[in-house]
Amino acid sequence: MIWEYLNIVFIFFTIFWLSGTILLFLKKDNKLITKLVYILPALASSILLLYIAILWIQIDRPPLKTMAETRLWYSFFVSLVTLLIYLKTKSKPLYILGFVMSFVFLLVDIIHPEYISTELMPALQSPWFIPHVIIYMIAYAILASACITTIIGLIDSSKNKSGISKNITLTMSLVYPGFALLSLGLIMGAFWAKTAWSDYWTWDAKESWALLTWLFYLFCIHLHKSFPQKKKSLLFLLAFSFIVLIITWLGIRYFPSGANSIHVYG
Amino acid sequence: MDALFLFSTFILILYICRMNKNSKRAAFIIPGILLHIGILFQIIFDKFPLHFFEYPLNIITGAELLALIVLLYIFFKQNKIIVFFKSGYAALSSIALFTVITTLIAIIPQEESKISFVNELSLNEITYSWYYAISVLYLLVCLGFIIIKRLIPFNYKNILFFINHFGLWLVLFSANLGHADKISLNMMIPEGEKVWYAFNSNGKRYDLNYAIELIELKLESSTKDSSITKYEANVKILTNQNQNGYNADILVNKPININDWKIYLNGYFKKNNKNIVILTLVKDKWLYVTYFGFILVFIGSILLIFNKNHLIRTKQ
Repeated sequence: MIWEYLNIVFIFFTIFWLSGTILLFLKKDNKLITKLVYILPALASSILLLYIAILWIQIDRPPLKTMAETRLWYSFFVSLVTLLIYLKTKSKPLYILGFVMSFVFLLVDIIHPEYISTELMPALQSPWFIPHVIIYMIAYAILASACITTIIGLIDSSKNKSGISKNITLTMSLVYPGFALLSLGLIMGAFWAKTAWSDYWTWDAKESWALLTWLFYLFCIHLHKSFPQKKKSLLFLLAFSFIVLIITWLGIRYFPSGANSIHVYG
Repeated sequence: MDALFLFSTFILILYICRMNKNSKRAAFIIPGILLHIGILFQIIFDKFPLHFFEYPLNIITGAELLALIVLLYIFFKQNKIIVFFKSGYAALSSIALFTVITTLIAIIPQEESKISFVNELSLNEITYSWYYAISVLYLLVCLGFIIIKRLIPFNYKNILFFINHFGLWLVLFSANLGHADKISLNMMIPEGEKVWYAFNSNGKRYDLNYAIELIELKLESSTKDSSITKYEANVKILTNQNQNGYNADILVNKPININDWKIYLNGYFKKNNKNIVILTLVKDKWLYVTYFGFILVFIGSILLIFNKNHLIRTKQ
């Protein structure tokens, strides 16, 4: 079974990313080292992607149904987005945090092999499945990064007020694409729900919470556009929006409204 | 509950009396008043009469709403309230009001409740409540004013703005007022039998101009844990145009069309050793409007991802 080889992938993934992180703190005069900081994690992500591709072929369906499989994608996209963000921002904390996140996602798969099961339920057998879930994952990964920069901004702003504008520029450059992806995911979900459940919107708990997350980020964006001077309020709201996102993703079943959600599988 | 309501109304009135006519205050007061009117109407009139807006009244309402917004925009440009509706304050307060309502939906189970005030205030059926309807209307009005304001000047930034906001307006309008026209029925067919009627959620019977015969329900289970992974209904459809009927397969995620209707496989159960299939029959003319709105927002979102201007502040 291909899942047995995940250990090897995990080891290579960790070694490559960890080497990249160590090189990050070496002197930057060396061109080779500067390049390796990108190349090594890119290699790690490629190995993971290759593994997902082989898994896909082996089980003969998109590997997107179980928690174990979704974590593979999450790990891959978090590492990919981290790399892209590092290319743009050169932020070391984001580089390390992205690595730790994708590392943890893989680690959970290794520790909990029981999450690996193979069957899809009928409602999930749809061409919308892959784009819907992947778009949401990228959105969540980007907004998670935005949350990290938000927290950094909040800590900085308590020390000195000068850096906050720069921080907001960075944060919002993540929030805008993240929010746009949330919109795409939400609409794809609606199209899918229409073919699967005969209605594009049923106010199911997961749908309501997804809309709520969208509305919170929508509010943040409008606050930023209309009242750019409200910097601290914006940062607090962004942090809170991410809490709403986390509830949407993981916490629905603990709410009374979520007990019978059609989105809670297995 | 009623005492609490009266008390908060009293506070609100006090606040309004002290209101300076500026937009910042209005951003708190207007949604506050609207929420109160919504709750008051809910207590007095019970459910929001959505069926009242059946075609053609929903189209007329929509056209009137747009016309009113345009006229107010043109003739009362300097009016304090109109100035407010065009401002960022209105955007934030309308999003906030709708967010509050959505939060209630997200937390309170939308099903039969044993708690009396939950039923009284329709907290278990919020989307059929007055305060929900009013919050949607408030969003539609605020969106309407800002869409008209941003039509000029006609540049890339404003086109992107229009695509996103007008798309959202269409979705909000068609999904809510258009919902009055939507018919959704459930049909149950035992294996080997023919059925030409279906029931809505209130148990009202509808006779249809076509019949569906369930020839066979095919079940396919996984080899591993014998859970059902696939099921399909092989049916024969008889219509006025085609009296001999034709065969079709309905699967989850693969609905079929009969005339204006879309037929979905909803589920199945076993009774007296006989498979009975549940089909959902849907007729929704507004779907095209909603989908057009979705596609506009979809395109707008893709453009937003690649938009490099989103960090440039628009004003002040």
